[in-house]
Amino acid sequence: MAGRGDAHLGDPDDALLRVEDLHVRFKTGRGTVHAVTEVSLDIRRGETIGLVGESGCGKSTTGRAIMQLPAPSEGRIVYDGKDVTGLKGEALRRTRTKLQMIFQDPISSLNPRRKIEDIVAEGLRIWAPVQRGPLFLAAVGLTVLGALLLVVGLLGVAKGALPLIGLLALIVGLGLVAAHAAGFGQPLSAEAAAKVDEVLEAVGLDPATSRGRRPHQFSGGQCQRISIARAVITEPDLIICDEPVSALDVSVQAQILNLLEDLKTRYGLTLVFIAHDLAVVKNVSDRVAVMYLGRMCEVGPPEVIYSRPAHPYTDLLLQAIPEPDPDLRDRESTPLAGELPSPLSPPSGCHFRTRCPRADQVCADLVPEMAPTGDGRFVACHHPLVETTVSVGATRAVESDPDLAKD
Amino acid sequence: MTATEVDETAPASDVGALLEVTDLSTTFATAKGPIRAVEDVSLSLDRGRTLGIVGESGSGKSVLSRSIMGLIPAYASRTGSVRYDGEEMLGASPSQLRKVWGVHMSMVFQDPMTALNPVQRIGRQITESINEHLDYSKSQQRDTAVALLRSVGIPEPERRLKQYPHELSGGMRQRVVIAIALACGPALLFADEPTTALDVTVQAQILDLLADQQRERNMAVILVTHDLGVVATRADEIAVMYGGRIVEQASAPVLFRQMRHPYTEALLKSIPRLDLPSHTRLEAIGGRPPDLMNPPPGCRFAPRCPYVQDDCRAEEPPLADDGTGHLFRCWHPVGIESEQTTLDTILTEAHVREPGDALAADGVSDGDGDGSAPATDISTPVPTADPPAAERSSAAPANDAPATGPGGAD
Repeated sequence: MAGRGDAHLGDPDDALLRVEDLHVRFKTGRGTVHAVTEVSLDIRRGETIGLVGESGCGKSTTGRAIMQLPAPSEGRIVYDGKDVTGLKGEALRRTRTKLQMIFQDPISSLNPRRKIEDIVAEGLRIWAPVQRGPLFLAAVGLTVLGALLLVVGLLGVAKGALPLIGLLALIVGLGLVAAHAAGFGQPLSAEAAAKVDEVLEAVGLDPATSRGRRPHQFSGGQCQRISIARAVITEPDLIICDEPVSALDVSVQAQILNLLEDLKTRYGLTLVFIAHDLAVVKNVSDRVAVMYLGRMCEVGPPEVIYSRPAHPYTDLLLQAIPEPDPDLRDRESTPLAGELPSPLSPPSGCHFRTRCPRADQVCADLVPEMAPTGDGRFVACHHPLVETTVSVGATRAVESDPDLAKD
Repeated sequence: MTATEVDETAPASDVGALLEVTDLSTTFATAKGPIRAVEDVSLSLDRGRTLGIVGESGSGKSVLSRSIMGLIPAYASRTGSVRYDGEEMLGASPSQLRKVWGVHMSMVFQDPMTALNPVQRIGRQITESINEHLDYSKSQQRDTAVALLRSVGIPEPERRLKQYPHELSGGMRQRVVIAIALACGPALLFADEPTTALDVTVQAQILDLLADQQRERNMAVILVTHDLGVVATRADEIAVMYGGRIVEQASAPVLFRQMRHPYTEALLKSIPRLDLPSHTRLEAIGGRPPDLMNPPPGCRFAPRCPYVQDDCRAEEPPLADDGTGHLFRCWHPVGIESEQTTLDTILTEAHVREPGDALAADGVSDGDGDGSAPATDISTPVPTADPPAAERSSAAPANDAPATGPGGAD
């Protein structure tokens, strides 16, 4: 697997976000890391798409590339019909209010020195119109006064320390105006405060007691709730959840997964859910995309992928999951042998071929392309476990040797 | 392959189990007061057997294994008895412990990134304990290290000996950690969350490796984990810990098919399962684990238990045996006074959320009326014979301590 192609992409008009032919490369001292290669994905409004794979498969990098954190090396990210690739400055920041992110480690992703209400309200403050209160007027007054004194001093009308004081006043005044414009020291508007209360309540925290506290006073699960509150407060369309429950105990994990499902309905969210736990991904996803070493292997509805995996990698991944059922003690399973190849020099052709039980020469020569299996799933593999219907995006292997694709 | 005095075989087993722990308690003296991290734990383990210890963070599972081994800080004190091969270990001096560690008991730690010394070559780290305990020549030590690395599935072992930990992947490092633990042929191996830091495919490799080594060496293994999936197929016996105590202990099939403790049931229900459809609502456990400095009076799980009754809050239940060796610490065990939950009922009663159904079944917005601590976590609906209805009715009021009797009663 681990191929390319865009046969699995739907109608562009249906997609809230489209990732087209994404490449992310990092230059390092030892060469170029190919973190993501030729990944295409569309995310439909209102769905949850699960991105799974092992560490180093590029799932998090894909999520971050959507946020332009960092911007992709190649390819396009189209959000709501607009190309957001390479956006900078305010245009990018405005887009990010609609695209939010939740991170893996709930404790380190919150600033320990800030109060919960400030953490949650930050997104609102940034975009709140600057209120021209008395403090702002005083700052402007100080600036004007400073400028006047400076001019007067420079013209030689006044002598001594006066021009210096003027300069000082000018600097301080300008600083205060700038800080004010950035939202510092501004009390939350009643509207914003109400919004903070609303989202805190929505994530299951008691606003009255939690607003004034700091992150260390909360457990890991509660910190993750705060992160979620911070993400939903700007009323985003899409939230990228990067391993949001991996750091949590199973009982808390269940609470957070339920919460995400609830909020998705309440706020009409679209979710990109990145995780390495296939059972967790199955629980929340409408569609699942399996990645390996930077390439897309298989995309489709979870019922299809989990019951009849088409990609040999997905199959091995599923077999590796320990199920809480002692009756499965003696089930047959083939462990996935070997190690992940280095992303500095990924294998030619299919990235998975070095560990794949079905690999042959074609896999080394050609990158497999996405092909449908007829049940809503697409797989990029020369020798899939489920037969692909040859149609759009048929692999070049099929053209050269039709028997191979039907193996 | 690391020939040592491992196989003393039959005579030792006449004395009793390899490991015999009786009423072990571990208390940490802290500035704010004593914390009883492990309380009154008794267990026994034979060669070749695997005991799984399961619990959430803070349940005392790691402290328990360290207490048995004697790997505890100076401000911790232990009471009770730990007998290894008939010998009392609790009062052992540091020099006695040095002779036991590595040779008789050793431990595989959770995080292979930090368990290895970053500035020492792999070979040196493996031969360290061989050098300490066994009378081997330099070349014998080296051969043993190569053989060990090969047996834990590391390719090109000769070359690896000269490498540093950062040159290996996480899975390879964990193999090295296992090789170090096995170096002197211990009879008892503690594996403290050996795969938590690893990917699922690597996890399977490492667990298979541990099982192979156990079979080959006839070791006793204590497998500590928070993942019921890991112990289900790997352990013979499973002990579930909560708040520093064992709350249920049984053989693996019995624990999963005839669980008695509500906590075990809740834990199993909260796990997302592969064989359930997408968007199945998970039954989370409400509330938080007990504060071990001020544990709740009575049963430690009572504040979060869906079946809690008055006597649960008054007096702590003893760890009782039902006559078959199945131990549980509960006044009102599930499956006797209420409907038995098994894996199968979890699968059939699961509630898949329909579109538009979510808000109705949502305990979030109207939860948290308690106003006490900053937000108790959303709580579990009480399991009932009619799951969809139960979801709606119980989700809202059931915050913190859902005090409605044994809702599971049919």
